[in-house]
Amino acid sequence: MTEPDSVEAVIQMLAQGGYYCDDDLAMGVFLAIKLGKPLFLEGEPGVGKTEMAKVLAQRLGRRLIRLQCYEGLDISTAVYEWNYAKQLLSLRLAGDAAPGREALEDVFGPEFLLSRPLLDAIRSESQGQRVVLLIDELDRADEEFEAFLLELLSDFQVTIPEMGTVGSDTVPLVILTSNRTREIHDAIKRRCLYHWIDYPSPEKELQIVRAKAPGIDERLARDICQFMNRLRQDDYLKRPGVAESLDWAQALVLLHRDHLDPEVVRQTKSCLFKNRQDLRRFQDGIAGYLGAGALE
Amino acid sequence: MKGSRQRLLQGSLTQAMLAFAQRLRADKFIITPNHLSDCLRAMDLVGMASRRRFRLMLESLLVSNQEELFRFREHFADFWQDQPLLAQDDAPPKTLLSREGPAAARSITSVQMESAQDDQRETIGAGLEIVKSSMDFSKLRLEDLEQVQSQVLRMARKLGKRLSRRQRSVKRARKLDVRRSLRRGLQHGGEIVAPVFRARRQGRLQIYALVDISGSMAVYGYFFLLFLHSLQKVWPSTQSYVFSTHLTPVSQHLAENDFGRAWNLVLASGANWSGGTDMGESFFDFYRKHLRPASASRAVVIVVSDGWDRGAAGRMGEAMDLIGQHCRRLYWLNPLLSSDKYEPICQGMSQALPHLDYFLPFYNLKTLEDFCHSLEGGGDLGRWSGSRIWAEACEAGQAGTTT
Ligand SMILES: Nc1ncnc2c1ncn2[C@@H]1O[C@H](COP(=O)(O)OP(=O)(O)OP(=O)(O)O)[C@@H](O)[C@H]1O
Ligand SMILES: [Mg+2]
Repeated sequence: MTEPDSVEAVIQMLAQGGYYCDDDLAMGVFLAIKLGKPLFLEGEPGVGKTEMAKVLAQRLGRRLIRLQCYEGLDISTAVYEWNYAKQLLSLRLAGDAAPGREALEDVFGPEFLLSRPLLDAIRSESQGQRVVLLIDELDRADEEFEAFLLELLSDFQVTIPEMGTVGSDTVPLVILTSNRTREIHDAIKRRCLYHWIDYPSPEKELQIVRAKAPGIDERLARDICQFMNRLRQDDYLKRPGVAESLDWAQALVLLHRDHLDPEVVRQTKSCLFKNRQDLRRFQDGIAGYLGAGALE
Repeated sequence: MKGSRQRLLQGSLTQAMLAFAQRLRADKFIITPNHLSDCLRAMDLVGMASRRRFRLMLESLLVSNQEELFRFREHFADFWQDQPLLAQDDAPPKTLLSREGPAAARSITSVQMESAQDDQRETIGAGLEIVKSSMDFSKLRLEDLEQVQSQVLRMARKLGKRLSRRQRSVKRARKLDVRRSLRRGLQHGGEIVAPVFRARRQGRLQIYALVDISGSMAVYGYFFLLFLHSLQKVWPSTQSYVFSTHLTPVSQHLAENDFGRAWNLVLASGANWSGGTDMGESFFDFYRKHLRPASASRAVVIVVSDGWDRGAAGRMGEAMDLIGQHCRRLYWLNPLLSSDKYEPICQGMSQALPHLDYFLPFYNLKTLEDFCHSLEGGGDLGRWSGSRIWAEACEAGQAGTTT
């Protein structure tokens, strides 16, 4: 598939994959593609960070390689691991009780290496298969891993002591995301293009809802987006994102609703909030969120 | 092709970027040389025709968290607002015709055309047509004038024809407005006398052209008025104005059959030559008195000027903002875009840029033709393609061809 050659082309390309964004995010994507720099996306939960990477890969016709970060993520899960079982088996089949140096060197070859996402991405690229590498929710990983990542992002090669260095002429298109549960180290961000994804405008969200909840009544869709927009002005522990809007929309479609009223909002509130404190607060706000003033 | 772009990015723009980076550093941003070189590469990719895009581009590259984003925007607004990229450009650039007044302007056909440099002609090989279409209007020789004029005429006619063709297909598709037809009929005793059609969003284009004929612009103004003179014959709703210290409507003069007479009438119509250009006032005047709100959805406003404003700072930006909001497309044609060293973010231009839909060069037949294509292209397609057009224009000024 051809690379987009303008910001417009990026907007269009993503929209074809059902992802709707403005020229600000599209600018980041465009530059990431053209300059070969990683794109760092920050934003509240559920604003479409992960989805962006998925749609991008799909539309570019590249394989998506995803590294989901979590506390305790280590190099062997993220980069590579030796397949010990296979190594042992191989040595035993060779029959030597005390294997020589050569036999040992053999079992530290490529076929005993288990590529994890990061190495996988580099290897794919080196074989001419372009990829999108999604490093999702980096804020959940430890700082130690961050330091490793910093190195990786600067030269896109991995050194495996037993085997040598694996690199590639092309770099993968890297998307990093963070929910901002903590600050990512500046050094990493400085290597990246940065974009803060905000909640979508009601108009944009309407586009998304229409596309992702097919068959939804137009009035209902407008009601939902207006409602969500008002709701997000308030302080909640966890403000609902686009993901919640979509869950809610789908629930309301199943209930055959064509507009919002206080009763149905109360019935379906669990689509929007999960914790008690937020739910209580929400109960009191419903009337205000439903207030007049429809989306045009 | 790469060469001229490269030069474009180096020089003054680089200096401005350095100064901007310095300012950000002073506010604890970390900007490495790598960042700067990325910025310059990105400018090449994104172009400079849209201020918003330019800002988004720098944000993407130089900001690294949400808190920095807000500070960045303040710096950006502050810095790129008043930054004349070309520091040495405090004085308007000299053209063949400097500011000698109507007498000089009137004689451009006889005097200035002859003063074209001969060496320029010598580089010309076989394709005389191409040479003429790429030669700067201000450097034409007298013997070329007739041919060039007839080319301008041809283009205007062609544009008129294309616009009407578009119009016809719109007509066929229009819908009867039953309610309004009946209401109109009531005024005539209940009979439907004439059907009323629903207005279409994209109706007949209403063209407004504002041509700068102050000293530095007179040669280009002359050729654009020549173009308008012919266009008005085939697209009669065209409204033309000239401006320098103030705005003067000239459509009635352009209705003269002979362009020579029309041009003399325009010159005699009170345009002030000796003073500088007060664009802010001229544009406000246009907005208040001439731009009809009813035509907003189909109005195309074309400003032809080099952007050297002598008016109060900020006025012109305000006026352009208003005009931009009340028209469908806002063009700015600038002869200075012929130079690849020119950056559109100079004094006056910088205020206008954010409100423009198109920022195009105009200094020879080729650029005039490109403009016609853009105009007849209709729709909003390519609305933001200004960046590419600008970059290409810079190349065209150099290489003469684009793909
Ligand atoms: N701009 C958009 N266009 C289309 N769909 C969107 C958009 N933004 C969000 N969505 C939808 O919202 C849902 C949530 O998006 P996603 O999972 O990408 O959010 P996220 O930012 O990664 O959240 P988290 O931080 O919780 O991982 C997805 O199902 C996606 O389809
Ligand atoms: Mg996610």
